[in-house]
Amino acid sequence: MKPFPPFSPVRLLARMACLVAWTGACALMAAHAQPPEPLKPLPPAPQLDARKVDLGRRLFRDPRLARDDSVACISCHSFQHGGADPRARSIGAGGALGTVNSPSIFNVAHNFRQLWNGGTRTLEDQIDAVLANPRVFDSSWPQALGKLRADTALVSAFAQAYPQGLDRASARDALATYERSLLTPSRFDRYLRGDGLAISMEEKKGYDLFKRYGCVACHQGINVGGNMLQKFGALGDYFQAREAAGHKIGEADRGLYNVTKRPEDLHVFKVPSLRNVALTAPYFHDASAATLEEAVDVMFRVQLGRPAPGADKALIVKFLRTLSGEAPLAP
Amino acid sequence: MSLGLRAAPALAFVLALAGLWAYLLWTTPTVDAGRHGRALDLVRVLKQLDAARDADLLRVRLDLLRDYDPLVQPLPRMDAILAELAELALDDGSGALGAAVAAAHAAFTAKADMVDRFQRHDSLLKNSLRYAPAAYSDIQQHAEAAALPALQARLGALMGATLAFVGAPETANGLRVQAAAQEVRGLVRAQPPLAQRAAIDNLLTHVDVIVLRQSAEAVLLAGLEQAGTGARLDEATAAFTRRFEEQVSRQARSQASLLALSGVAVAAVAAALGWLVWRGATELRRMRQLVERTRADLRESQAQLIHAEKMTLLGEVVAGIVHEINTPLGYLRSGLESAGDNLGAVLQPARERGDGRELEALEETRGLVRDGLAGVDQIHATIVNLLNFSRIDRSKVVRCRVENSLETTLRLASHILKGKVLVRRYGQTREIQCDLPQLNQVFLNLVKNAAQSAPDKGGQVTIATAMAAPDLVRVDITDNGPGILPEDRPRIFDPFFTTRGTGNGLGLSISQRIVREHRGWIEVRSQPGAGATFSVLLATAQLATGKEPHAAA
Repeated sequence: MKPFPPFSPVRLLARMACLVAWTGACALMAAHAQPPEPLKPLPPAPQLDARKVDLGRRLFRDPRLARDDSVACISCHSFQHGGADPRARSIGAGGALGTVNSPSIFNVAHNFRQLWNGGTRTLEDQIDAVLANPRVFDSSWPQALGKLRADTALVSAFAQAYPQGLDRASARDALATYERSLLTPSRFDRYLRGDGLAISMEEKKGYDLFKRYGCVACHQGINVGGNMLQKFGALGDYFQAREAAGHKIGEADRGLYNVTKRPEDLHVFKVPSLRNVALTAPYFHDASAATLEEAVDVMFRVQLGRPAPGADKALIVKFLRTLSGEAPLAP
Repeated sequence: MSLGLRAAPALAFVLALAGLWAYLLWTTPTVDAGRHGRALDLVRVLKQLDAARDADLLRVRLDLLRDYDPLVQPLPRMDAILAELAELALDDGSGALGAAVAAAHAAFTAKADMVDRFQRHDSLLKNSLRYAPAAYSDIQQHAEAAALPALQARLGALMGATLAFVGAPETANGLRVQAAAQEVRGLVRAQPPLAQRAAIDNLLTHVDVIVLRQSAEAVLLAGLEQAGTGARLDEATAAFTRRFEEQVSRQARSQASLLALSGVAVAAVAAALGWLVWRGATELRRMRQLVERTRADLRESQAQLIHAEKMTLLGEVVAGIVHEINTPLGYLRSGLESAGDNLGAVLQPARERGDGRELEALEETRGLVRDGLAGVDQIHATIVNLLNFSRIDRSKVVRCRVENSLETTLRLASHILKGKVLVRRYGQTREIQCDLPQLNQVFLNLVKNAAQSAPDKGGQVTIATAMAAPDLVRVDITDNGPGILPEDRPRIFDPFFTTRGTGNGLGLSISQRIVREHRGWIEVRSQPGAGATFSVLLATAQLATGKEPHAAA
């Protein structure tokens, strides 16, 4: 058996150096092993057929989709207002009043469902729904296609982009493709990607509060929301309070219940995306909050169920403003 | 049997084979291994997505995952896969596969719905779980509440029960929490209004949320475990595989039938080939026989040609000889005639002188001269006959009577007929068209045969002519010889067949050929020991052309 090596200062130093290095590495790893951010940056724009995007862009602005040619998609999804409608309710074909506040058309590709009540799962189905909705376009595909087919320039453009030419499938696809191209990366996305100077200290504080207060429980993911449904008034009865203020409960207020008819789905809505929220006033499906501050107040009251100092809420509002992105180039 | 009739059953058989083959081909299921492979791939991908989602769900529950995107992002792709699987499950006879895919789809839909509800509970639960302790410690630190130990204790108990429930979300624990909450409420109501009333109410609200959402989540998680999406996918895979195997075995059966049918077709072809070969062999035999006959015919023709050549040569020789004889014969005749005349002139004065011996000598000499002249005439007649017989100078078809030809022939055959009795029985016959030298040859042949057959003592040859029909002349040459033996009867007309030692055996075959060319035929009647009759039947003259009548064989 080999005898133990004699005591050596060099060996001791080497061992200590290793230990320090190991601890340092662990510390470093620990420092980096933070839980992942609940908000994710917008992924880069997908490769879309430019011809189809252009055709969708043209259809988006085409009033012939409406029964009486009075409104187009862009009438209620204004690019000057974050892709939403500044009016509490939009006005559709024949002057019909909409039932809910129009949500933003931006970044809809990252919503797992469309419409406030989460009733449609794909953009194409959503297009079908609004085309037929008597309060929106009050039309039908045969009617709309009939009018569009009279436009020879449009027909030939469709013939170039789609083998089957202009029909229901290609019109839906063009519009959906265009909608998928409407992405609005923001300052906050740059921050998430590592640009520490993209947002200010206050905005960072606001983000931190957003997380700590638990807003992030529902408003998370790529779209800061848009990937789940939730009861509006989970911790405080929103509708009771609203009724007390004089607004009766209407059909639109039932939310997902209108689709599934299950009692547990009453007053359950799709959690909206908070991207561009600073631009899309008024807020909530019933447009009951005119400002972002009011909306934050309501959220604290009925969804978080906890008090918060006004300063914190102000910081959160500041943070929310960083979610506004560059609007896609209009016409 | 005509060709059409013979071909009909074969054609029907071929059509039946073709029809059966086409039917089998049409009903052979196409086994698309590509589609089957794609279906299995899709199921595998779906399983992976499902497993990944399950893992993400666990991470969410453990708070390792802070956003729900991974739970919802695979959904569109999963829907697309299920739709494509439903499409691939089509054209399935029993419907079991379609049902399996539909069951899988239903399981996935149910699971997605459960995950969706889980998200709702989870988000609120986590918020309340984070907030409740902080809210509690806030209340604790406030001066007023600190002054109420009972309230403090109750609140503490409530928090303890809540945490216990979170750790073990059973009904008993839940009830305990609710009981503790009731106590706190009771205490607060009993007290005069507290400044922290709102805060405590708030805490109780959150505790309620925790209890409610935690219980609901527990139920959902149990349900998610029972979702059985993996099992449904396994069943769908099994159903796909079963259908594929079934298709493969059906295809194999069809192919086996096709193979059997092909075997039958090959056998039929082989049989047909065999039959063709056999037919070819018999054809070959027939051809060989035909070739033999033709060769025999050829030999006979050759012999006839040689004979004709000989005759021609003979004819030329005869003509030459005749000419050579005719000239000196003329001299001889004229000389003898002159001698006779001179003798006549000398005879008269000799008679007047009365010299007996001179007269006798002169008269004897005149008799000799007269005999000599008769001999010359006889020679001349023979030569004329010979010339007539050969007729080399005119080989043309002419109209004639058979009797003329017979007479010419008989004159030439006189030495052959010596010692035999010749009987003529000529009837009234019409003219025929004939090549005289050839016809003479025929009659000479028959007469020669009859004469040679007739016995040396008492032999008789009878020649008769008559009209057998208004357009048919009959010449019978009969002998009273031993007759023709039955075994020789079929062969007498064969070339080179002879019962005598002399001769080349061509006579009768050549005669038959000549008679046939004259649009006639030769009949034979004979009984052994009763002689034989050869009858030549010839068509009467019809056309006035100089063409040679060519009778088909």
